[in-house]
Amino acid sequence: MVKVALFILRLFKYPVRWLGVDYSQFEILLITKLITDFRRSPDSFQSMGRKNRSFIYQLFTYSIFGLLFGIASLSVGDLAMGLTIFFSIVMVSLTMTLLSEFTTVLFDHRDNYILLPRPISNRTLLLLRLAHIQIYMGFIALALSLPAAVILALQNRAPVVIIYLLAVGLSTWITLIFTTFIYLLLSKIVNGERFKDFVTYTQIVIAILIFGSYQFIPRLMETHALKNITLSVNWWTYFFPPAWLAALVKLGLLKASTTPFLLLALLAVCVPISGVILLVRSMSKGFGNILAEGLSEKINPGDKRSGKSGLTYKLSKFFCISEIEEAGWNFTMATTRRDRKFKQTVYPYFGIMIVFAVVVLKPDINNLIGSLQEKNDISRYFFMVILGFSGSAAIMQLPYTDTPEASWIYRIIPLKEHGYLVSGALKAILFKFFTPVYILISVPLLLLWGGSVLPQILLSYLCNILIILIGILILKKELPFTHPREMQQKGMNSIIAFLIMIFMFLTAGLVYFTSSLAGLITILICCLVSGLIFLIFRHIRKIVYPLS
Amino acid sequence: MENSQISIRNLRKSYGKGNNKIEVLKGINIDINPGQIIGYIGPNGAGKSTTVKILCGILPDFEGEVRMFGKDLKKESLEIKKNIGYVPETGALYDLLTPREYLNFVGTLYKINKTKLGSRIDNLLSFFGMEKYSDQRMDSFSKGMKQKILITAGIINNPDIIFLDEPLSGLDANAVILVKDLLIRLAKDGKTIFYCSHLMDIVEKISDRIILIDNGIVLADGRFDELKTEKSETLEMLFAQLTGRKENEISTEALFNDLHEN
Repeated sequence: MVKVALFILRLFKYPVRWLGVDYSQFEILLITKLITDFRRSPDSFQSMGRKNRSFIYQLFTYSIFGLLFGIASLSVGDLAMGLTIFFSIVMVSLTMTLLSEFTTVLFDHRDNYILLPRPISNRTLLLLRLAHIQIYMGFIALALSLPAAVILALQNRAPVVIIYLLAVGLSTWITLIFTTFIYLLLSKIVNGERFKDFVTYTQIVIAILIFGSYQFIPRLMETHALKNITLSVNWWTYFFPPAWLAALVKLGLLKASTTPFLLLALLAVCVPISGVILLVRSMSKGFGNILAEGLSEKINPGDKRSGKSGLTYKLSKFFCISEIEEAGWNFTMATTRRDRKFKQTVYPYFGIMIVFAVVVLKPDINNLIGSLQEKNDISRYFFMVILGFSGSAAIMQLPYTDTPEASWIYRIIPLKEHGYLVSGALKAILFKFFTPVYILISVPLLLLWGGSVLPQILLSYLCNILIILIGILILKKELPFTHPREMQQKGMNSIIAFLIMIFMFLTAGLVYFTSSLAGLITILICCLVSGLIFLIFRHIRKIVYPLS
Repeated sequence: MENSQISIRNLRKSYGKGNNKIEVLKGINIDINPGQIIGYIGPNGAGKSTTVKILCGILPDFEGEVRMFGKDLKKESLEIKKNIGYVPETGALYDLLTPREYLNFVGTLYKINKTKLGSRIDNLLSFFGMEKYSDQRMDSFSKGMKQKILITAGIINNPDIIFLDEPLSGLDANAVILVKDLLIRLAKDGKTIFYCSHLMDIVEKISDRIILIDNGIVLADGRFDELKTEKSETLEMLFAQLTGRKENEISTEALFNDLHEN
């Protein structure tokens, strides 16, 4: 891959120099980046921190979606309209991926000490990051677009595929340049820490949108109304990049000789070129400042919630049975409150639950409350049960940290009861990431479905805790915050997530079944589940955890 | 001073904003001539690393004026960087590369002629006794081995000014002697060495001039024999005297009382 990248890179040697970028530095920097990406794991390459298998899996998933979107879009009668829809989907997917996964790469400051003292200009650094991301975005764009390329070649003539692939390449550049442009503009308005917060919360929202879009877009594509519309060029079409790209492909088919289409096709080529010129030549100083901000020492105003006067500290006395368990609770509370990446991974699940709610309950938008009130089937109870998703997501993140080297403390302290630390940490997670969601959503549920569902809400809450604890027993025994995030085994997590889903289905069945029983029996079952939870916690405290 | 190689005027740097603003450097003024070894010392959080990061162009946002080789750091940082070297405290290198690959990478960034670069890499690796590891990936290297590569990368461009932030961290006794000799030799060759460290005995032995900062201001600046007094015969004693060691002794007493209670 390095050789291919190098070959393509050398084609752009003179334009790169014209941008004011030092080509020899740019080339060695990009090659070094790619080599380190490949070497990150001995048996497989990691693409920017992710394992090869997960990247290939991701590409495969994208190609499946690309096939579905390709078939649906290109079946629209008007080719320009079909391509506009298709490029819209491609660009939205790319933007989401860029925001959620590659923003940290764009502003990565881990190698600041290596690069910033060297005579490398901000222009070279900015183009390096853009090119590095473009390579991986290019793979994703290709995975999304290749199935449609085959359809297009079959429907039309094969040479059009060349123009189409050029349009796909341009779509990644437009996305990348536009997003970077927004980021650099924003960095001028807000200061360093605020900017990082903004990026974090944007990534959380985008993660939810990605999940939501994959749930709803295929459903939308089935709408027959889309099949007969045509693309008419209005003033706003000139501000809509997917239409530019569609016009470019249509031009390649020699089917778009009208002036508006020629203008649109011209925009498809000119905007990315002028965008990169604007970014690299005029805005790279701002990029350099963002990188340097990453090295600025963090000034923390002090956390009023920490220390012995904090509420969570007082609650630890109530919920924990020993001082060691309290230590696990307090440690987890403090770490999850301040760890940006933990939030980034766990918080999207709160939004995903809302998406799940819509998918499961299928409310009628025109009669929202009425349609939800009428729900009296298993979906109502399944909804109650899937609320536990946020808890299990947070639990799965518990062993991972950016500073695994700090785990020496577990090996050095003369402590036998590591299990108490784990149970304290689990209680903290359940209290912080699970119980509030349940309480918050229970209120509208009680208002919607009446007080009679209270035993079912309580039972599903307890069953969820039970499921999470069973998950902990199945998972590899790991102490909190001891393993590097890159070691997170996605495959393993998928199996656990699958098992948890099965347990959730079973629980939904159980809760549905109890709805036909007297409330008292449900309360008795709740007591039984509570007993099981108590026993599992006792077992967790006795487990011997590996300290290596 | 007009002939200074490094001229720092009213250097200020603060982090944070509003109520959280902390001023780390509060107006530093230093002039350094070529060929000097500067021992830049101070307690933790005094502002040493921040000064070095600014001088190396890593932190571009600061107040005041810094000139090196007569050039303004804010305006001509790229030109200045061509002629400086930096050895960071942390193991900042791409450790998935081999030493030869990494040094080749750094040398290319400085645009050193390929043939010259190859022989220079060989010589530097051999000087540190690292030639037998030259084609092994550095992720399995010890801290000391990585530190040797960092020092090598810091001088590979034959810079006129070398900034070193705790360069001896993790090095064995032989390597420490080697680096000390190297720094003295480089200074004799006209290079300026800006040396940050907590190892007072080494700073005392190799430095031509000591600059002691605390709380973002310069507390002492001069040759050690000019700075020392009857009460502070060693640099360590001088450091303690100027940076409030006495207060700490009281707290040490309190700490021991507390430890004995348990």
